[in-house]
Amino acid sequence: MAKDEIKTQVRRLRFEYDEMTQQELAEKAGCTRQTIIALEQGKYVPSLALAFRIARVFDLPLEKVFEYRKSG
Amino acid sequence: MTQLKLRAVWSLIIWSLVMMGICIVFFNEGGADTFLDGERRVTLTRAFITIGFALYFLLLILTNKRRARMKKRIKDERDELIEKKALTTGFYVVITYVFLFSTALYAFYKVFSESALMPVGWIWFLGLSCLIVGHITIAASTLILNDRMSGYGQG
Repeated sequence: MAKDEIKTQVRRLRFEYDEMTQQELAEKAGCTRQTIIALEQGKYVPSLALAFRIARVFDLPLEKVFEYRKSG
Repeated sequence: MTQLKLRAVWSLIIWSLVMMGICIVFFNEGGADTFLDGERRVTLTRAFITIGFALYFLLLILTNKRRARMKKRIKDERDELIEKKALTTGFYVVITYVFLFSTALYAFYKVFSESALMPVGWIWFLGLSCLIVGHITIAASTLILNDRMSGYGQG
């Protein structure tokens, strides 16, 4: 069975964006730092609302921050 | 440490100690057969569960004050997802526990007891322990889920 996979560029974007800290991103996106950590490690996939809020922080469209892949 | 993890760790400690205390009082001095011979052991178990709830509510209040002090978001969609999953796990563990415990009691007293009469002390123990098992399961599964950090956001 094919498995959905969501890749994130959050870590790279944080560094490109004045080396923004995880805490700063969390505060701007309205989540906890632990969620940002989990997200960067690929252990958590955010809801659509949070994904949009994160993309908005970087002023980028959603697909530039999150990438959808189907594997298997 | 997040509010979710802090609460789960302390909840696990509090309820494990309460469970230990209740088990020691209940199973010592003859177990269920002699549990209701005098008020002392019943009062002790009552005291344990009351102290457990008092400490638990104190924990909830203190962790809320901590949130107010920190003035930043300490709970989000991932925490809510973990809480939901932990509650569901707790629910299923409790109903399974009650089913297995009562079935085991029924089978034991039907087979091994000549009179087939069960000491009512077991009902007191089952009542208290299912509350505690629920709390322990929720706390433990919260910690496991928080560590794995897996899952998909909803909505």
